[in-house]
Amino acid sequence: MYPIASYLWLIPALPLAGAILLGIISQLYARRDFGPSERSMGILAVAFPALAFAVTVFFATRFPLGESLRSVIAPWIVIDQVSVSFGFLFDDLSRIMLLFITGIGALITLYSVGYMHGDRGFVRFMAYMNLFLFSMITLVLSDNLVLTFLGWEGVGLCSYLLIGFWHSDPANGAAANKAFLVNRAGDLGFLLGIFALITLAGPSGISFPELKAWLLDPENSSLIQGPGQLLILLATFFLFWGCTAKSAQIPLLTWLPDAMAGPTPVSALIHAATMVTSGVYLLARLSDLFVLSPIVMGMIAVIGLGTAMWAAVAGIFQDDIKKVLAYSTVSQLGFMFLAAGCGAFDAAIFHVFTHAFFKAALFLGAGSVIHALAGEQDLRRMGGLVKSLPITFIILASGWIAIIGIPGTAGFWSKDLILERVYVSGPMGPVLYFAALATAILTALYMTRMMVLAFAGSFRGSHHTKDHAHESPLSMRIPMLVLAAGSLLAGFVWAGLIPGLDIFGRALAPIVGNAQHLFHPAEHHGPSAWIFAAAGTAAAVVGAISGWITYIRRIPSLLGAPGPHGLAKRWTLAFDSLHFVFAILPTRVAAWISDVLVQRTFEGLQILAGFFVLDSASVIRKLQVSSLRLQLGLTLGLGLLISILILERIS
Amino acid sequence: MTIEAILLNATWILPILTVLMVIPVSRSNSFLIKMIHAGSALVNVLIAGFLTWKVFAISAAAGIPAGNKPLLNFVTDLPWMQMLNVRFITGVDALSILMILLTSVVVFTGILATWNIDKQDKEFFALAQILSAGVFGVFMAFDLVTFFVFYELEALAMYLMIANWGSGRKDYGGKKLTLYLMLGSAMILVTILGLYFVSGTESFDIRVLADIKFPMDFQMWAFPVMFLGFAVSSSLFPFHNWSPDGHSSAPTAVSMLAAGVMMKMGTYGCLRVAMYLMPEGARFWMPWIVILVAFNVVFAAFIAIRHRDLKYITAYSSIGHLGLIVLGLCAMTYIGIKGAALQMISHGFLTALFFSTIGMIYSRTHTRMIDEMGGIMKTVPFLGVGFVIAGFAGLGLPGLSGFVAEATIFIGSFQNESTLMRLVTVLAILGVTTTAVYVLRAANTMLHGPITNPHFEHLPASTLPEKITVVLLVGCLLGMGLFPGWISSMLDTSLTPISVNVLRGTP
Repeated sequence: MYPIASYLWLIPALPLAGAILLGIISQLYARRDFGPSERSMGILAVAFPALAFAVTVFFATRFPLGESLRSVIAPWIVIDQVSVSFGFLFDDLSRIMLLFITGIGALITLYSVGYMHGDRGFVRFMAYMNLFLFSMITLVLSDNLVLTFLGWEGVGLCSYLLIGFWHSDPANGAAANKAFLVNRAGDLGFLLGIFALITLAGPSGISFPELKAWLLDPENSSLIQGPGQLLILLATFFLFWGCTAKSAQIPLLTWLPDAMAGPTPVSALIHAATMVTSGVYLLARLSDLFVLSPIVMGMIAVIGLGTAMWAAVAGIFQDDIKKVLAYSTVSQLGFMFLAAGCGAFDAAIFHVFTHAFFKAALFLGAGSVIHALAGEQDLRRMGGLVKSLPITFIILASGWIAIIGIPGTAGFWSKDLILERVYVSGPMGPVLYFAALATAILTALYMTRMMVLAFAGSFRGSHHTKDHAHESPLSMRIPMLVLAAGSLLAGFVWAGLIPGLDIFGRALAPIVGNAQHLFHPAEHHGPSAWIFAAAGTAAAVVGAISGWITYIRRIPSLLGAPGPHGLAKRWTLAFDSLHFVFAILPTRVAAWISDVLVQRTFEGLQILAGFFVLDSASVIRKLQVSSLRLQLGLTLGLGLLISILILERIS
Repeated sequence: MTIEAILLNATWILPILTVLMVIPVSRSNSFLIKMIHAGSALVNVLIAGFLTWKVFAISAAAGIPAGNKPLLNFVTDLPWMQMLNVRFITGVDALSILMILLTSVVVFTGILATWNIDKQDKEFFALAQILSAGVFGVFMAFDLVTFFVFYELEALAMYLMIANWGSGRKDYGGKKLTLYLMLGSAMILVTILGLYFVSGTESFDIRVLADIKFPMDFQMWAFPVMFLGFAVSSSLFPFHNWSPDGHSSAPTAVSMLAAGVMMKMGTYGCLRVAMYLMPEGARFWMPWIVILVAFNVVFAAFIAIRHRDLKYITAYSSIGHLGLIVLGLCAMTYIGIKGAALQMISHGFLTALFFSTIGMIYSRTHTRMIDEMGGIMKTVPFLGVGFVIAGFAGLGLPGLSGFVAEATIFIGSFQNESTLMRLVTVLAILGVTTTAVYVLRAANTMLHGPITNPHFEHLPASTLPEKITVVLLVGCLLGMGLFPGWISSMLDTSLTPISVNVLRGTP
């Protein structure tokens, strides 16, 4: 094929080299009072992701659509016939994912050079960011499930390290722990899914191309249709379970809002643009498997829709600007899962792609606000920022119109596509469609609320923060502007408006087309695309206007208003309560049973045994040494007893 | 005897020679004493590394041997007690040399990690060397009596070390450990004699006994007695009680050696002697033993959640991980056995790193209770990172060695199609998940947050021996996690013949 494929390892290796280098530097300075020069470290930190982006672009532009490169570096784990290698697969799905992961990754690393300025952990932060990019690249570039799992765990680890980055505050550490543990619960599903696949397909169950070939091989169709059904159900169910944790779906979504404890660039890159979408990536990557299990597909759609609606409602109640965006991310991820569950894997990936732009722009804009207000995140103490932060406003506004779906923006194209595909997906399609449309109205409502509270009216914070308010430095502004432009324009890679640019759908066809065709053998004919576009636009406009009218009036009463309380609070924490009842409490009870009932019982038995041995020993010892009179008495008594017995015998 | 055979025996003779060498050194010259011990341990690492490379080359050239006997290299076979036909047989196949390599690394890092021991260091290191001599001997012995003599040597040294240099309830912990191990030894000794008499060969040579098919009624009682006897030192439920108290009261080097290699001697014996010689008994009893394993893998993780003492947490974590090794053995599949062997090596490095970092932190904070620590990541970042890496290896993060071993065990035990076996496998995966709870909580409570104790503001930086320890062990974890291929292919040459015996008669 292409000999150049053997250089694919460069893409993950570059950020890894950066992580190792920066990690060593950070350890060298760990106990000193000063760090190395931020300027040189910043250049170093951005250089590796930027180079990785350049290499990705080189690969991406060199091969026509539909071509895929595969390169196996070395074997990793060889277990009998099941062999797992460090193998990379550069096809159109990983091409798309890699382009925006390395691109947005490099931009956000550049942004964080400005954002983390003056932080004592500057170098450590940059090392983690590079390590994250390495793991994320490995996740999407891997050609097998186990190496993907390495990336999957790697991004989880980096997420843990970065959420708890400012570890002096115990709350951050707790949030980090929560994120890792909830994801750990998901990993259980991922691992069981791998085992189910190995049990089903043997050695072919591990690597993506071989699994696809195995599933499509007519020789295996009798197994797949017949006795293999249960294993396929289990495998898809477990893998989806793994996805619910990483992509924050019901019921494993509680960690993502808490994850906002990390620095804002982390929220933008890891907890919005890239890591949380890896669940959607996995669904698309294994689309040929998932379509074989209609039950799980239905489950994915319902859970996706449920998550989207729940999080959209929760988003209305939030006062913390980052929490609003966090719930919005959960909600948008729900849309992606809804699309995947309806068999529209390409639309789901398209939304992953556009969402990466506008959500990153929104988070970076929010970060810019927080930066300007010296750490203030509470919307109740903002307001009127349009005057002091005009550039930030433009950035947030472009993200805002993109996420609510104003025609022409990136979000419009992908959300419209999802809604349309959901409608035609089957008999339940229209029901799902109207629920999703209602969620789109809610999306516009809570996003407009956030914009109104932050930018309209007059400033409600202290004078001190008002004087502090300033635009961000250039290193932060450039990435924001690029991402803002992306959130306005990125949708055109699907839209057929400009001939030749609608590459997205065509690119994904070889990966997911087969599965989608299997899921919808016949083309459903719904209403014309214009009607969907009009309905979607109407939803955005209705939501935005009602949001504007509702919240512009409430501005005066905001200051001093309590945070989410009553029903709102219960709604927001609903799944935390569920986790407490169904996971934390049982764990504590099980721990109590193990420790107190079982362990202590055995401990007690052992002490009893010990006493028995010791006591009998000491009784014997007493008899022997301690009491002469007792011994004499015993001897006499025994002698007497024996004599009597003998005498009796004789007589 | 070839030069390699001499080198092989040198690994257990050298520690004893070192002890004799140090006797004339003045007690006040503590640095010289430590340097001699560390030097001899380092020489052992080099010897073990060299021999591992040799065995690797030989087994790569020879391929997987046919039949039921692993290719035994560097054999020493000397008559010992003539009237009983006891011989002194040592030699190594791939499995044993890897265990010896592990032992040498753990001993070396153990000496470095207790570099700053301030009480009677001369005697302490001498006993540590004697202990290590016993462990080296066990892994190379191929005569059951030789094996048993080495097996006993280590328990004695361990008791003295815990009782003298331990902390907390050291007398209780030491006695408890010794009594339990004695119980196990008694069970092993009985069955060794049984094997000798029943076989009719008048030989203690494992290679000779491997060809005997022992009668089923003998195996029915002898296998469980011997397996559980070995399992005592691997802390299989319900013989696990010595381990938490023993580890928590033991000094760092002893904890490292006990959890790192001594507990593996048990599982090594289970495989190499019990299962290898009595496979039919194994097939009958494994479904029952796996119930005990379920206790290990689930209960230990849950109990660890309730403990606040770092050493107790790690001790229970070890019990859980050792349970995984036994799970792999119970599976009675080739992959399961291989996973067990990988886990023996992986967990050796992992737990050595765990106990060494705990010891280093304890020597600074003078407490092991996680609630009494806080924010020490700021003052001793190096040790903090070491502890966190050990924790992540323990919870099976891919890229570190634990994942490779655990995944192999799970795939292997899942291949056994009995429902009970699969249920325990799922429970074990759940147990590994639970590991994250206590590891992360410990890391978060003691490393993060504000500094709780003003004394922690100025903890001394990590010293050079400590840095070498952590870097070496982390390197082993990473190396085995990313490049397990050569270990894996080496193990095949040893485990394939073993499993010819173990799996004989299975469909």
